[in-house]
Amino acid sequence: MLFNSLEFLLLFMPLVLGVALRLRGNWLLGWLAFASFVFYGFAGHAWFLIPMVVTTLLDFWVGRRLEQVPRERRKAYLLLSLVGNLGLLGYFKYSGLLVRSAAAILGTSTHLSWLEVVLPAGISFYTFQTMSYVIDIYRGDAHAEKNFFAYIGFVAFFPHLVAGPLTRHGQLIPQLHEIAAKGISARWSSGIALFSIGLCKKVLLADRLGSWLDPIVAHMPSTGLWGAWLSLLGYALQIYFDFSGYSDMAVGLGRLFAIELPQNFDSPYQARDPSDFWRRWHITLSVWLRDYLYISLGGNRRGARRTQLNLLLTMTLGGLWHGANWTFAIWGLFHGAILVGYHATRDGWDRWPPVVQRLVTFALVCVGWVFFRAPTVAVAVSWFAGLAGGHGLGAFDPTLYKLAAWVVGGLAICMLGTNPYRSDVGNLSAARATLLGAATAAAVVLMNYSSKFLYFQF
Amino acid sequence: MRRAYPLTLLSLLAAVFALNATVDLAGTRGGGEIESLATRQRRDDILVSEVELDQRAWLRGRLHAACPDVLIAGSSTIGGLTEAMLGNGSTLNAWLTGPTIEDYEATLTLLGDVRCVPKQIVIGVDPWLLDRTQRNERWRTLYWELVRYRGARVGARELAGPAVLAWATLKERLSFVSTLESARWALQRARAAKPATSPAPHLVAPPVERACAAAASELRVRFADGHFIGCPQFALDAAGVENVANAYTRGDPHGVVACEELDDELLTRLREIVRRHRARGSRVVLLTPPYHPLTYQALDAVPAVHARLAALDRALAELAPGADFLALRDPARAGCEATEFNDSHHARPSCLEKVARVVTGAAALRP
Repeated sequence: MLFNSLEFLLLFMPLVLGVALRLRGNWLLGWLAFASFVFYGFAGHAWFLIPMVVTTLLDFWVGRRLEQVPRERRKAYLLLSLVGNLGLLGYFKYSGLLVRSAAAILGTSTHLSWLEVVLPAGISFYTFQTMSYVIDIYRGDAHAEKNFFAYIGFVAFFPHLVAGPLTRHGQLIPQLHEIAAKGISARWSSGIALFSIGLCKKVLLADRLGSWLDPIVAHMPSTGLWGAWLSLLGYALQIYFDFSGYSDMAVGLGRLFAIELPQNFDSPYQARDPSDFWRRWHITLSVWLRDYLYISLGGNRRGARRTQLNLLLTMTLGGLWHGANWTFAIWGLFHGAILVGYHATRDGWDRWPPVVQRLVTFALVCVGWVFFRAPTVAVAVSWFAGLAGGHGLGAFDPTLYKLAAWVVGGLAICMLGTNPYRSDVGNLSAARATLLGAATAAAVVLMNYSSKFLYFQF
Repeated sequence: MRRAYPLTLLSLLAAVFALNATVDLAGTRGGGEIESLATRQRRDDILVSEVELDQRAWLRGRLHAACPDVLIAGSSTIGGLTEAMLGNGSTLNAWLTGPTIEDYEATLTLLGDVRCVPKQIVIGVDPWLLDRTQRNERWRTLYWELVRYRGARVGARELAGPAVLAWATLKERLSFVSTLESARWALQRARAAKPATSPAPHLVAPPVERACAAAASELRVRFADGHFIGCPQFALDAAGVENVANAYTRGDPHGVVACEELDDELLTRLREIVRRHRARGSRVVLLTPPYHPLTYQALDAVPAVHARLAALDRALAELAPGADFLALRDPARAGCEATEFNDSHHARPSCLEKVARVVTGAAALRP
């Protein structure tokens, strides 16, 4: 089930919220867990529930055991959790890539049908969440949750289940206990406004851009300079509006249940440097990678060389987290390299005027999107050739005019627009509320054309 | 926020709903009337309408009127195939607008209801038939036939029937495509100084040119054997056809480029349809309709599309042992040229005659 569907808006959400508003205690938590499983069951295939249930049960049990067993046996339980979680993630997400790559290197043809499985939606998100839960208990930074329903809510609460924000147990479980004790006091205005803003970003901007640029990317070897540049800028905007739109919807839905989910985007295309970009883009993933990977590798505590290596490793693995394709690894490595480059030249960079810093950062991020969007390295190379004029100027056909108009509008919103998290979206002026109502109506009518969220595949 | 937002949102959605319900471009409200017209349609009668007809209701009516020797199930891409072209006995071209697997399933029930076993069933398989994202709700006219196809007894499904139909209607009334077409229709009618409501579809005597000449906007024309034609004054010129053919992959109106994989469930359901037709004694021909040469070349040049369409063809060839599979997506396979197309994917009669020859040739090869 998608947030941007009439089934969700007119059937699922009113029913779930309507019942939830009347419940307390474990009845409320149980209802939310049940609704989340139903939501997830409709997110793809019903069997998607199996790996999620395995992960949920395993880490709930490991979390409890970590507080009960002697110190010397704790590591074994941690390893069990890590192997279980990463094993599931590895099987569903990376086994095909590894086998294909090995076959390519060895020059053999390999066909293993048992590795050709559909990736369960959101597996990368809930796996990372439950892993952080277990690691924090192991480190002594958290206590194991005793209420199973609250724990399920932390893993499966449907607004953030499929594509985040990646939520830490300390952020969510106390809030679940609070609504269980006091009932839900919905934040109607800000929740609906934020959800509507996200819906408009997704349907009116991201999906329009995607419908025009997808065929261009599919024809990249014959795409001229105009098409290559407009599709690059278009994709930079599409992925931002798509993912930040989903995050806005998730946070807005959370507010309707009196749950504050973490902010995931903070006007990332206004970032002044690569480091700043990662403090604004997919914030919850950046923080997770910092806390559980970069710092575990030694962070910046072991000298300049090791810090650079840690950055490269963290970003490359972060890239691979997005998908089982070497293009994602290159994208991550590229970001690691520009972070290393930025830290090495920071003094000079910081002397540039802010507008130059922003433009250079945006340009670098856009270069990275080529690897992120291209289905193969060959297409990425072809895209760069098109950007350099290697395929000629190309015709400026009607699709490119539409794409150009949306790119200009989208850039204006990204670069100059007000961030809804920095304004009181629950208290809009009558004019803004009317505008949002009209845009939401357009988005609802256009929803039939809407696609899945890009981050569902990760 | 508290008043302005919900007032704006709800009033705009209500306006969209009212526009679509008033214009009723898909003709869903006039199903009973269409079915009655179809039952009464004699061999020379031509059904004409200035708005879309409920083609499912028409099909139900025609099957109640007579059982054909050859039944063609598909979309408008093979909607121009005529009885004369096939020359294989009485023919009913049961093409539908936006057909989905549900339509093909329900057609089996319709055939069973009138105890009709056509000698030959030609099923058109457009690439988007097996793409879940390209589905629409028009099958709902045949809802009860679909329920009986699935073998449900009186139970939850039947009880939910009215709610399912109401939900499908609501979705269609709030859809972008309906709204765009309704707005275009209303604008066209306003320019022609005609009321923005649907005139009732009706039967006319030949020649069809007379009805075409009186049309202010594109006329829906359906002959007694089910085939359709477009009125010549609304046809694209050669340059227009070439533009549309070239723009197909960029515009991707059927999601053929964006489609990522075959839908196994839909493929399984198609396999079951073929199996049941064959079990009833019909010879089944699966046919992939031809594209305009430029469109076909452009699609074939995209590696992912090429691979997916090849996979589709393999799956269709393996679909049911004994069924004929005619892969004619490449127009050269039937011998069709660029001048024989109305747009990117609708062939003209001269090309369809060649397609019909391939179909009858394949039938002749079978015992």
